Amino acid sequence: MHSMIKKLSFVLPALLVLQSCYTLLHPPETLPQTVTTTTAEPVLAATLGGPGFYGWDPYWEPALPFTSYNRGYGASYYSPYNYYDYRDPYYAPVYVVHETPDPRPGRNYERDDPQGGTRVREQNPASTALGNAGSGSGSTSVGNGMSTAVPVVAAPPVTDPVVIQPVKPQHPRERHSSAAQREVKQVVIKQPRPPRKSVDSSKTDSDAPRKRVRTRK
Amino acid sequence: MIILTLLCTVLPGFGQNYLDVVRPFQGMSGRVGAGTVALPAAGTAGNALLGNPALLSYSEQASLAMDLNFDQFSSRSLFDSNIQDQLKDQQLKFNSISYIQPVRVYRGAWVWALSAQPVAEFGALSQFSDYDPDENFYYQYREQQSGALYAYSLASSLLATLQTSLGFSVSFLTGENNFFKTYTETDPQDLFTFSRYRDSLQFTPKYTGFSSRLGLIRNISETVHLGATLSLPAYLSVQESSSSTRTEWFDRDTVAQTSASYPNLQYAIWGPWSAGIGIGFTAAPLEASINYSYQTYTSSSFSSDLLAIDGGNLDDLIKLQIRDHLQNVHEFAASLGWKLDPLQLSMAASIRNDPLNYRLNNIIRLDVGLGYQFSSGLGFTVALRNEQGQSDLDHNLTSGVARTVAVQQNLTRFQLGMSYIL
Repeated sequence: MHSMIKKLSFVLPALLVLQSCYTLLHPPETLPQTVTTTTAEPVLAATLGGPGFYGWDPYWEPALPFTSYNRGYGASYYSPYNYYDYRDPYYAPVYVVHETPDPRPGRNYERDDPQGGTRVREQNPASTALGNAGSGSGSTSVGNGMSTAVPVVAAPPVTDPVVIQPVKPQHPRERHSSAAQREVKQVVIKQPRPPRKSVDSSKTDSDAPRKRVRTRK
Repeated sequence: MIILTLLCTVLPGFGQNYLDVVRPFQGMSGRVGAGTVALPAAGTAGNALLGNPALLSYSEQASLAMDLNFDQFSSRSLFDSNIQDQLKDQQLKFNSISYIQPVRVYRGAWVWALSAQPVAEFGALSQFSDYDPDENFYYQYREQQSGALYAYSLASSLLATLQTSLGFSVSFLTGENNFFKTYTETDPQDLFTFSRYRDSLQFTPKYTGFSSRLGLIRNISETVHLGATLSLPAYLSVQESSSSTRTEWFDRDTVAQTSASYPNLQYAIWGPWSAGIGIGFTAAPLEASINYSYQTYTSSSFSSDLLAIDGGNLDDLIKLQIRDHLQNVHEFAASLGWKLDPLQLSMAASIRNDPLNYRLNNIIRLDVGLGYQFSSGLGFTVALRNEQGQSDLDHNLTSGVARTVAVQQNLTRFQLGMSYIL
């Protein structure tokens, strides 16, 4: 393992040296390539090796601090960063792309946005009177916003068919006094019964003629 | 008074604001709990990476540990609590894995550790529904959050002298927070021209960043030891997508919809400084500790190229909001342990205040743990954690009256862990 690392540590630098010698003997004579420039910010020493392009640049290589002007050319491809002396025949003006994007607006809503509170609801013409009556009778007791008082809910006179019929939720009044509500229902059921009992004991408009008929027969 | 305060503080904050800065850090201090001096009850030794890394120096053998969580969230609205509004959600998930490796040294101790575990968890559920007392329509708020911020940590601890241990840990943070909030109105009595209305908000910030902390343990005597930690501000780069959709279904088969979305907003945030101290007592087989930690948001910041709604600099605006709306967090924690091989029992409790200065909320956490170590090297831990906090679903009624709805959040976690001493 150690011998392998030793070999690699010798071979890899040797390859670099060979490549450098070849480049010194046969420098590429590619013409200056087009460099996209957008904003005027001249190249400074601090940008050496820095990104001059957006994204991946397949021709990127570290810019060396010397050029062919001082006989130190070592790049394998043409790079305008290596010719920062305007007297050099290969000089090309290079401008670093200004990387700060333009400010844009942040979002105009947040998790705590008030939902629905300021919404405008249009009342049904048929139920306007009822709605007003309902809200007028109950809303006065909810002035502090902390009360659970609920307006009196009258039977809804549905005139137009509802397209999407929502599941009717449990009303707070029913929710808070569910036991009381059950009693009311029992009363409603019991109310028709007394007349039935009275069929035998007392006289009603509907049963009286039958009795009379039977007695006559 | 609270309502007035809320109106003054929350209302101007629509749009991007200081809550985007504080959100990922809100739960961070609570996770380590009583970890400044002693190991938290419901955790493995790997929790020292996010608590006091100097505790690692007491690990004498290499070990691998991992655990699973079974979480149950439940929430209850405190304004108009009723059984219908109690929500529950249950999840079984992988929690953490850690590996501890002591290095052979001639004197003292030197320990390295790796771990992956959540540093902040966003799970929450809230719901509130009622009739609007002014207009007789039915409305419902429902809020759900999920996701976690995970920390992949590397730590090293050194017994610098016979009485002093030093440690550090660095964490790569990554995770996301999924937030959904819906407001629904229905018109069961058909008083209005609409039959249903729905306003939904969706946010998904994805976090990537790093954090680091230093720890110190000093043994005063055989029975008393002191601990101290310093957490440097965490940096998070945020990539956020969000959308807001409002849909109204009318009685006559028509539907109106408006929506806005920001698919890719990028900004960066710096978290709070935090420091902790603690004192531990050992009288074998009993161990006890008392801890205090302090978090300050004064240097927290928001950095972006975004503009505020009024066209101003958003970074500066949020800096002012941080100063006005955030407060320092104080956390007190205590732990008690009983350790006699092969059995280990422990319990811990902590309480801390909310960083939002207008919310009178304390987050309380309780942990109870049990561990058993077999002679083969295999060990098991079972722990139960309960954490309670509060969120709110405050809103305005049609009449303009502000209604304060506090939602009590409750997390119960059953944790099953396994460790193996290598």
